[in-house]
Amino acid sequence: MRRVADRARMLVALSVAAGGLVLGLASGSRATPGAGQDKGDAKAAPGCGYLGKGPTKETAGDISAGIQACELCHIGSTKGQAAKFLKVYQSDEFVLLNESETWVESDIHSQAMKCLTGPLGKQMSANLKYNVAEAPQCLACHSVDKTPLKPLAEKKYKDFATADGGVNCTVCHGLSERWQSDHYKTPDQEGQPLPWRSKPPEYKWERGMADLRNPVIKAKLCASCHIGNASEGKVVTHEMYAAGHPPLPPFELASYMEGEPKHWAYPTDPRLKFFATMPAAERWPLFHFHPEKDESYLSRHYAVGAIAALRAEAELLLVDAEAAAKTGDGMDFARFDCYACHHDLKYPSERQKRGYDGPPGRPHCEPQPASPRRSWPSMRKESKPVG
Amino acid sequence: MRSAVVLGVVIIGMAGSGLFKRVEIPLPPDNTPLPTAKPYGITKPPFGVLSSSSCAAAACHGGGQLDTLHSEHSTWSATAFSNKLHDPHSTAYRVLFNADSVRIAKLMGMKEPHKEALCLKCHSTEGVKPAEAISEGVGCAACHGPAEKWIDIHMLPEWKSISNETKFTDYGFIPGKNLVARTLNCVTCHVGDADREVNHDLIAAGHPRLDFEYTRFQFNPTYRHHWDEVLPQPDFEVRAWTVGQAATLRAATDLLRVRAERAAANDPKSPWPEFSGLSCYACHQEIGNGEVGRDAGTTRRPLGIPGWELWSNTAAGVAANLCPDAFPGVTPPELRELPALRKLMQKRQPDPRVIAHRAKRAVAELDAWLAALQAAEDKTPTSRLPAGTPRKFAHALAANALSADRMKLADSDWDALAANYLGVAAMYHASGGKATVPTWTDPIRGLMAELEFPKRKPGERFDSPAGFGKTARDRVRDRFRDLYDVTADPGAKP
Repeated sequence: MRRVADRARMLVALSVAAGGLVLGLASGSRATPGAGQDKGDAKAAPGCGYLGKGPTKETAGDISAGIQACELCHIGSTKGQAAKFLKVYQSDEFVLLNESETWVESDIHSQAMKCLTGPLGKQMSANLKYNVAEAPQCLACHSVDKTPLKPLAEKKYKDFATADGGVNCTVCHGLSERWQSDHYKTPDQEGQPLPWRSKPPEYKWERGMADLRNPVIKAKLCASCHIGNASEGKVVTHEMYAAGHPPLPPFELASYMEGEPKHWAYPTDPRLKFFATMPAAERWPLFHFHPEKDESYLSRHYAVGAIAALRAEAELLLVDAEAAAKTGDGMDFARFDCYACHHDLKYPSERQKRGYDGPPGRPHCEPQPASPRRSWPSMRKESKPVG
Repeated sequence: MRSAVVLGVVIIGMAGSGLFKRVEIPLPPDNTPLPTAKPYGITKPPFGVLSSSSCAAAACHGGGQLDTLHSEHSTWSATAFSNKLHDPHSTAYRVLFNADSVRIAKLMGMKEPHKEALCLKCHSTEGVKPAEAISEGVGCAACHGPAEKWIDIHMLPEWKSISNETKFTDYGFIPGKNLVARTLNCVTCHVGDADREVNHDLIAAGHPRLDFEYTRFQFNPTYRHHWDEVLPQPDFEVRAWTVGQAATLRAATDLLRVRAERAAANDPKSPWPEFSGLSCYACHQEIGNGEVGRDAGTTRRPLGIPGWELWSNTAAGVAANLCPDAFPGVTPPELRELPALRKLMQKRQPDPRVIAHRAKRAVAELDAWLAALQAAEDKTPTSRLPAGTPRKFAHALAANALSADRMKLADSDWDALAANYLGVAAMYHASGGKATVPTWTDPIRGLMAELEFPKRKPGERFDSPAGFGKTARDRVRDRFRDLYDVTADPGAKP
């Protein structure tokens, strides 16, 4: 065990070397209510600004999981109730205000349930011998989890909201009636900006609204589905892959943001006039970004996303290794590099030409392509499935 | 710090558990008595190994008249005479110098493959004296046994009166005329044993996978025989296929036992699970979008779990059930342990102690079967097998490839399909092929076309059935259904 402990220490050192970003990430909490479980690690990290505890089971309140409420306002600056807010409060200077429209019309998250009910979902149901459109292990990523604090084993179909057809507003922005009513409350003084707008992210977070302008919170949230998060019941198993689940594409936050039909704007976007004249000191706690220093907004997301990917993978490994120790049945093949095994055999072979890291013929646990690989090689050596 | 801690704990978790540590599970009770009969030929004769040159005198086996009696060595050798077609065993050592072998050795962390015991155990005659004789490749002694004790006596008339078993046990001569003794020797290299194996590391480094099926090797058109079979067709091939199934499965199961025992003893050189014992193309197939990646096919196993030795397990049941048809008087063996073993192997990380225990019991049952087949082989058949015997085998194999209602494949894994295909192909060949059973020709050729690895440019090749997806499997199913129909008993009432 000493050898193992030595290696563990070495990895700890390597991770520390990843710097303040690691610290920031490590102390982050999930963006859905319930993250307060991570006691004692809610330090504010230098360089990443606020990372509050977020709501707990007690403070989460009742949940409104549908998009109908959001649509009343966030449907375009000239429609619905938005027109009124626009006129009185210039709401489109803080957000775009057409978020629901963008999501419904062009965001693939709104189609997530169709994956389960469509031909591939039917095929998977037949192979897996359960209905994927009703199974909690599928709905955890493909719909709205109304009870994120409940362990997967106890979750039932009714614990999920599927009516919006997929991953709706609340999945990312947070489930809580408290913020959902608070954030449009009539201001004390007519004509002044809404009090909600001027509140710091900590205040909003404690009421259940995820601080998605914070790249750390955003990265962790995205990674929870796009890589996985066992404590939230979001794990694509090898059995699911074998039944037909497409391989999860490599997760890279900045690229994913670029590819996403945007219902948000980057902080330097001229449309968001609220921030245009904001002093740098006030901007930092909101966006964690220094435009006046010619900093690239996406570069920070790239870096944070990379570490979030590494962390998400490492945590999946950890949970799987613990489960494997209990069951004695080894780790799920999904934790290994897919293409270590899944390739046609041919001659001449690029793999043989390139050589192997360690003995040939052993699959490795591979990190996400975009995650910081230099922290991983010693882990690769450890991941040989040697008896 | 938390991610650092996570990483650290992951390492401890992985190293100390999961793939490494095994949970203590009590062994299953073994109060069922096992058969004790064993075939001769599963032990290594403790006698001196003579080189092939001891056999090559012109008056003995080096007569120089290829393909004739007394020219066995000349026919075997690739170098004694300028014959393009030879016995590939004679070039087994030479291949260790080619570019593939050099690269394999490099990837395995070896220096020179022609000096590595791992390679020489199969690519030369193990233990041959003088040591330089390893350059003869797989020479006479590798198949006929170490000649120290029998070199003198085997040319005397009294040799013929000695029983096969005595020849083996007292003299170390492997009586190759007995198909069981013969194939049990083939499989020591072509499947592996406690001493020799091609594991997944070696395959990943570039060594071809092992895919032994006796009749396919026997009738390989690139193989030059230095002997004639005593039994005529179809009797020979029906029996050879049956024996080959039993011997191959016995070797694969015993190899599993050996590997499991080593893993249970935490031998760091023995990976567990050992992937080379699992179905190759269960993993080595495309994934992702498209037909191949998204179609799960039919399987008898949990999804996402590769099958253990489908190559040697799939058709062995047919051989067991029908062995009285190939060997009149032999009763079908009772193979109770194998299904349990297959089930236990449907885990990602089966407990090696449990596997070792079960595999040992399964080998005992297979040994009893092989002993019965061997005893039958040692008796000269008094009559020929009924003419319809290959048809009966082919029909059973086609049924074996299909689900009970014959609407689907029973198992769409390539290895399983290939095992059934090779069986029907052997029966087709045994029957006399197109001239005798013309209705089988199209489905057999169709199966071969579907199962064949796709062609690449000259000098390049696929070593896997690339693109083998639903369309191909549906056609395979249809061909097996055709075969099922054309091999139906013509005398049976509909």
